[in-house]
Amino acid sequence: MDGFAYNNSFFKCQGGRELSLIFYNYVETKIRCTIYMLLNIPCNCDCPSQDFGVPLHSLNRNNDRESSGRTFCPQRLTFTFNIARRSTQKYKHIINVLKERITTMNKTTFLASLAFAFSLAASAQSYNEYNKRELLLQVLDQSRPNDYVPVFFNVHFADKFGDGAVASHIKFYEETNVDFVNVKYEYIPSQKVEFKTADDFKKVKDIPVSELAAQLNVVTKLALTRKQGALILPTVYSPLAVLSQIAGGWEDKQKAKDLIELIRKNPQAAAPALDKVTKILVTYIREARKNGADGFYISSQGADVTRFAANGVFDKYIKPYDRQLSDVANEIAPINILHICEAGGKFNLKALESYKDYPGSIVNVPIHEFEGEGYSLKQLQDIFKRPILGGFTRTFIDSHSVEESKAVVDQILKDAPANFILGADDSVLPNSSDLSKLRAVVDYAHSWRQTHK
Amino acid sequence: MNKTIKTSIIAALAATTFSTATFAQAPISKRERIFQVLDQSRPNEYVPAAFFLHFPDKLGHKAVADHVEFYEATGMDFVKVFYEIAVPQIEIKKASDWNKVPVYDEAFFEPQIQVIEDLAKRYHGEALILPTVYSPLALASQTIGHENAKNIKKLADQDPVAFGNAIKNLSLSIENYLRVARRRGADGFYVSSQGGDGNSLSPKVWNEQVRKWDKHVAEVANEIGEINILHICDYGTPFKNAEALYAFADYPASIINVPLNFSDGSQLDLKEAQKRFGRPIFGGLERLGTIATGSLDEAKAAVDKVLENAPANFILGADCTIPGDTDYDKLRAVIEYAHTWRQTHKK
Repeated sequence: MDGFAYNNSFFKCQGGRELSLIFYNYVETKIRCTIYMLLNIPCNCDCPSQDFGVPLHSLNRNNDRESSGRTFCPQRLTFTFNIARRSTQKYKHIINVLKERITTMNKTTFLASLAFAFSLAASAQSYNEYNKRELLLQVLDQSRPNDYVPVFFNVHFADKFGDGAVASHIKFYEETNVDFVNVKYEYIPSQKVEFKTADDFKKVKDIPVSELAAQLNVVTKLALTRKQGALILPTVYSPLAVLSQIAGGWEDKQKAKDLIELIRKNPQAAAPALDKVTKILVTYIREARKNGADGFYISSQGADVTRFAANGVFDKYIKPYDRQLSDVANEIAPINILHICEAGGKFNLKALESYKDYPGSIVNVPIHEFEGEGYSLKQLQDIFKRPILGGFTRTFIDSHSVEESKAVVDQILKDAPANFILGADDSVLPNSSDLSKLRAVVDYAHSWRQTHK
Repeated sequence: MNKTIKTSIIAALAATTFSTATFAQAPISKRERIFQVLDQSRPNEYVPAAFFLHFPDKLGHKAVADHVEFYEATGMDFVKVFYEIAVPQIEIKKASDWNKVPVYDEAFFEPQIQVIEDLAKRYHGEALILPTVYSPLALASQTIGHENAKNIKKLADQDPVAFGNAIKNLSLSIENYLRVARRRGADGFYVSSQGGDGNSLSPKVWNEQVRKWDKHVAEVANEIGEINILHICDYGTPFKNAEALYAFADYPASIINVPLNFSDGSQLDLKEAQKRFGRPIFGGLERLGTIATGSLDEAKAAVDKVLENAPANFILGADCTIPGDTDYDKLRAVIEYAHTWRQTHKK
């Protein structure tokens, strides 16, 4: 009998020549992983071979299951380890240790078995990632702080639709280790309207659902491949943002400003146009949900003081449309994030009031975009009575070193509310963001509450 | 190619395919349905439901089979594993005998852990595995023997410190159980708190000796579990009123399972309970009410009444274990009725 300690686990190993390797695992926050190593010596056991459909050799099934009441193999090789997010390195290390210890084994057999073990490790990994869904849902438990701090960042990709877009999303998700699959909203209506007078609002036409096809296709494909690993949460723009796209305001900032001014002066006339864009956005939410979205990151917009808040235009004319998206998402999806977007404007405490009655499981407020005194993240959880997402400014991580960003994570998490997801004011980071930098910050945040007790 | 290599590669492919197939099939799991209840920004549309009853087989593979049968037959929303292992009886004739109670190590709980482990292997990806945890007081009752349990209060009063030691050791024993259960497949726990009802123990003994160790169990569960339910047990000894119940608001737990009737004749307002505990509520039906004794229609009428007045975040259940002979088919019908109730009863 050869035994040695690996971390907190006791590792027992019996030498042998031939082996089949059975990897038996299931996952909590820790993965418990048992390798049954059956040697070509008679093995008096009743291993759960049927679980993986793996043929076992030299099995002698005379163990009395009735009396033991469970499966038991006296010659199993057992180890327990944390297969937390950065599992691969650790896993490789364990395999290396294994390799060193089992010296009497036929080398080719061992390599074949390793391939097997890795294929199962891959399934263990995805099972683990499946738990990102639960790790996120745990944030909703306001009876206690979430020990694991999920992270929500995203960027716009060069490929907007098609397989290129799907691949970019997957690359970003895998490489940064963020906790959601956020599907970027990249659809822009084909119609363009020049808004000069209040009458021009009448020119906005209903948008056909067919225009959403490419956008929905990205949702569908990401849901197909990544839904078990993480929640699929597409972004949805606000009716104001989409109307601005129709006005050409995304290409020409002056047009966006003119549109805002026109709405401010003629809010009643703008209402039918807002209604039409709201309809297509609601359709997008419903269709995306049918195609696999778990919920939505809804960008609400307009109550910032520099636009409509001051004279009550937002509450009276914009909010009925803006809020519809949150209402529909709330009705049909299990989890939604309400993003309160400043879109270049500023908030004050009063302006934020308009959003307090919006539904949304989690709230993302741009805390660095307050005019004068703002709210802390902690105050925001008290006000909204929901978990809060945020902390960083949009550009900080990209323009600073990993160490500087980690120091900011320290500050943010030291004062964070009990139920918290790390993100940014507007979780869209610069498109050029260095993914390895993001990864370092994401991993640091995940375990921060365990490492800073 | 060497035959063994071939076998290994085939096995590798088979295993990968098998695991992929399992994941691809996963619908919205019952696990996530329970997590959704925690979202207090809105009511849970799907009302999960669960009832518990003791099975004839306490431990071993037959107990596992009983749990499987019950879970499958009723369609309930989590796998609640019964706590059926009893600490050994110790002769406690005089109050100082409480000092004889030891801390039981992890190995002591192994038969119970095996039931949890087997159920976890079967249901881990599908439903939350929430084993029951008894209170230190319940283990004290096992220690003295149920026929002598009526003497606990008197013996505790005679030597509160010795009794406190016993409670502490039993609480630490339970902690051992929790930690090993979590490692072996439990997602969280259904933690029973007992003794704070003002009747089972004198308030002095409860406050000075028992409460912190009773609470300790919930704290350990809170530290290690993904999600926990606190069951505030009043079995046979009701709380005086709702205020006495709310004294437990400082116990950690994700969801609270509440008693319904108080000794002053009042009843718990479930909505108020969510507000005061700040957490979702589990319960609503009386364990010996229509769910146990009535027809299906009567049970459904009781569900109507409960859900009409339920708090926004709610799981349907009973205030404690229901009788062992309750008809599984009736339970299934009630559970299914609850699941869709909020969709079918929209105003």
